[in-house]
Amino acid sequence: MRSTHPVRSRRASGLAAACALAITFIAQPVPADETCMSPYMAKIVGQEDYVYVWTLGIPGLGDEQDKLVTIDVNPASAHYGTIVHTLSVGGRNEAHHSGLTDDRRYLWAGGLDTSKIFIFDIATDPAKPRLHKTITDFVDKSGGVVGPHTTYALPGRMLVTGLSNHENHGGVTGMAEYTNEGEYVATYWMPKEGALQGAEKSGQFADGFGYDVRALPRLNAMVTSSFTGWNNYMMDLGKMMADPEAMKQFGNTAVVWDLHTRQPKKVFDVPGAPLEVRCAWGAQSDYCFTTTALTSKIWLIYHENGAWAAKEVADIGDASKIPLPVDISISADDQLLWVNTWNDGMTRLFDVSDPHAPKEIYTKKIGDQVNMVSQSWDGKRAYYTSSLLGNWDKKQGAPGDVQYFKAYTWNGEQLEQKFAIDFLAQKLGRPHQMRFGAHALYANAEDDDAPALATTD
Amino acid sequence: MVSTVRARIRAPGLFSPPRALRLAAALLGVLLCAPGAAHERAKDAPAVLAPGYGALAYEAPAPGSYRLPPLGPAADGAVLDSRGAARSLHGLFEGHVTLLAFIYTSCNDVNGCPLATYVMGQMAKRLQRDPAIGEALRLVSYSFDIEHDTPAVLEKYAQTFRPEGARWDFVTAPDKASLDRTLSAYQQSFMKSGGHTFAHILRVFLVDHEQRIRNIYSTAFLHADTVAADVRTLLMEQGRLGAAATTDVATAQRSGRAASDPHLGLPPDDAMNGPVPTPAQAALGARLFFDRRLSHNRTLSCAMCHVPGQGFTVNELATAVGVEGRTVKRNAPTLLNVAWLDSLFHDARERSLAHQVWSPLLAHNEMANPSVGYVIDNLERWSDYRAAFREAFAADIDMESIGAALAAYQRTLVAGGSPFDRWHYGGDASAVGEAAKRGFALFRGKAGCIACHTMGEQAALFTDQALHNTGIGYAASMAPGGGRRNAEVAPGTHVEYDLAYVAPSAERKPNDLGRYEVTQDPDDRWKYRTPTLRNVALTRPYMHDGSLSTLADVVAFYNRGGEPNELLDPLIRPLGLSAAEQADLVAFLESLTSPAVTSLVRAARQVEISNPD
Repeated sequence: MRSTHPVRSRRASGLAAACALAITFIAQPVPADETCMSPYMAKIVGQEDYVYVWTLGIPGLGDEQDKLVTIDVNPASAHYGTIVHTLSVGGRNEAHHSGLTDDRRYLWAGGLDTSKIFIFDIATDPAKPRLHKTITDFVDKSGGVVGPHTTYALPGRMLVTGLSNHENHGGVTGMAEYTNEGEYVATYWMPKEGALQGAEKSGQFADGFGYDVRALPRLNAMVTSSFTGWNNYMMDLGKMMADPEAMKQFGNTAVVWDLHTRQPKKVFDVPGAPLEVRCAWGAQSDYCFTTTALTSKIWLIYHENGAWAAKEVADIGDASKIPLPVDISISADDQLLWVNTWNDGMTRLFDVSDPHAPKEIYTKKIGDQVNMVSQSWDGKRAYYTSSLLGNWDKKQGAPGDVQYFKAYTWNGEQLEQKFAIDFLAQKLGRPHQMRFGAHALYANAEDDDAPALATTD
Repeated sequence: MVSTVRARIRAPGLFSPPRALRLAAALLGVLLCAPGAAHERAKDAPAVLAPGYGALAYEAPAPGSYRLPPLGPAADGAVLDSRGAARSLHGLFEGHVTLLAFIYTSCNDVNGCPLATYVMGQMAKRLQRDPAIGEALRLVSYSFDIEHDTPAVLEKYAQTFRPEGARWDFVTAPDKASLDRTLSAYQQSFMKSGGHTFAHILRVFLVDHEQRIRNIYSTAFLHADTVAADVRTLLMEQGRLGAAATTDVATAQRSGRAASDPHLGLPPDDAMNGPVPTPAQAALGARLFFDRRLSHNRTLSCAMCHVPGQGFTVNELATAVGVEGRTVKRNAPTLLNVAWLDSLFHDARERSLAHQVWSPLLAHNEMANPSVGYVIDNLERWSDYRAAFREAFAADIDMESIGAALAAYQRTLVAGGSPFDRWHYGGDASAVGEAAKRGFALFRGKAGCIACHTMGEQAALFTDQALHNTGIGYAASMAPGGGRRNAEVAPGTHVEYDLAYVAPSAERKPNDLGRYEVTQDPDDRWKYRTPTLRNVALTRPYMHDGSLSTLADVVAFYNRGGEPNELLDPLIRPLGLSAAEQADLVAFLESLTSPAVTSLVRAARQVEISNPD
């Protein structure tokens, strides 16, 4: 693997020359869904073998339970494009996000409703994840954090963001830190009005809400975003949109933290529910992106002249059509940002070579709704799933286009669908977060027969 | 993490232009002691050096200004030191703060083991400069390459890196079995990748004097400045470097005003709907009330829809949300002063609090317990509920005692003695302002509110406990669907959208016919129970469906005569109130807030919220 590799693939992809040129001068291009991983983690740089899909059960469908679905995505495999394993965990927990430990041996998958965290062993047999441990006392141990969302790897530890609390199921929440073994370590409440914990409130809001977290170790920084509490994320979308009280209960802030001390430093106004946070990878790229679900904008949170700042940098679609931007994925070289708008089922590619002025350069309709996007390290493959939340998802639509997993290749100009799996027809449920697995992460690396991770050099 | 594996799997985030690599090699000299193959692999090695090699790009945190929560015990293990002596990790740790790195000497990844050794070397130099730390800190480099890294090899390695006199031990395991135990205890999984190269995630551990892990550093994270700050933080915590800065945790508990008699203006206790609770009964009821395990999937307690801090209702929702987010079509009513009500639910379908509790416990769209037996079985299993029921009710846990316990707690939610009570029933003319007094005059005069929100000579619940059609339910049922709607998508930012954009995600809104759903009497369509007005300023949003956000909205609704329909209650008529009169009415309503609510909320927060374990 060479530093030139992403550049080469980009050139081969025929993107704008200016784009490639910019990449050449970036000292530190690093991995892509790999692009949304913790910088602390080992990454798959070649062909991934599996995509693990954390899937929410649907009442009346199949076994109705949440499950981890393993899909073979290696074109060299005899099982390419098929489901090779499913593992039901019992009950519906509002399966949502998942994340790998820094050693990539375990996949932590949270349930926003029951606040359970399921820890899957994906190292022993990457083709057949097994349930290693279930954390059932997350709320109790954390002192009242409800709705474990992002499970983010720190060295030897997992940082788990919450969405709500056990006092009122509103949006005030915190983060809980665990050891990789699943032992509770500490809780960090989000800074809020009256309890800023030393943070500077830089705008109008300090709501104490939470959602995602990403770290920039180089700058000793951690960035969090803010969504909404249990009441809202669990209820029917139509009911919520018609409830002006509920609509007031969305997060309007992002917070920059001291990563080392886990202390909040600065609270920024980012109105309209900022969700996923993705930080750039380049050695000189001192910024992160987030998108606001309700106001439909890309925001840049950036470090400049020794200080952090936040500003909106682009619109995403037409806010009056309620596009609901959801998952985003930044390319390994920090040049491109995929943005999914859930309600219209579109994936949108933004040129973010100038992070202060993202430009939409490509769109494609993926399905009746689209939520998550995960791209490979080299940006050549992108995977999509449909589900947002159990009671927000579309209740009807074209067969195969409501609840699906779809695999695409990206040639630099367009997405080409390779295969799709209809999660309703397969009686599985609502597919949500995807994480990649590969045999070569755990096998003897000298074994050149290992199918997964050939270098691309 | 080493070359061949690195080629396929990327270690934590660093990359490699060749020039920087050469610089790294020159800086460190580490490649010189790597096996010959290192040069082959060097082309793959990282060349953007880990932050630990350079100046820290940010200011290290002030020691003692933060916490390093324990991450669990640091395991013991048998080791051989570089003189070949048998030692143990705990023996090495004893009485010290220890920095422990897992390495192997022939490692050639500059951002792997050599980084650990480099940072350990930096720390060793600091120890010599700073006796306060030097006394307390110990460095241990543990090689997991037991074949190659014999004590003799370790000693030679130590001599290369260890400053004269530094307390830095280089150890390895005496045998494969101890090695495996120790590596497993520290979660140091590694792969042997041919010859003497290993792929592993770099982890360096900070262990405190009680042999607990207090921090774990990785490549992107390991730097002598931050390690030094952490070490000093631990020493300050032990009182060895002066006291740690006390963290000022602002509890910001507002003190309520000196409470007047919370019973002032309320009926006597013997008029309560059920027996006056004993303290044990109320305490048991409170435990149940705040037990989130009491719903089918253990996510909802009674308090999730009757939130003490939100007027014992929910201010953040028009209508309630049940298990798994299921829709409840009506607004959660406040429980304040519910002790005196004998007409419960918006449609008055229950009379007794002790019976009423079973509706939400069993309703599929509320707490969704599958049966009475399921609730009893759970309570019998959990902690000491069985003993608490015996103590409070001299009874087993059953349908009746559960109802009685929850009712007992609710009967303690007594919140009278409002400014209005102190004026009207207590004779304190200064207790309320002139606007509230004018508002009260309108309330029982021109506006006629008192006809339904009734008052007595000695006490007032401000409800006739009867049902009325104000038209608000009729309008909701009969309104045409579709069209456009306005949503506030961020404070002050409104979007007007076509309902078609959310229709595919929206369930059909449940219809609500009010009292008719109980009696099936067509005359009862859209009739709802009159709610109390006590503490009404705390219980927004308003009406049975939470459709009005403010008290001003409610007054305006009645001022225009409600929503006309053939069953409209004849008491509802246009009132002809001026804007000033409407404001006075609101001032009166705001004077009904009891100072006792603050202490009820505080008491509620003392009750432990039970969650799954």
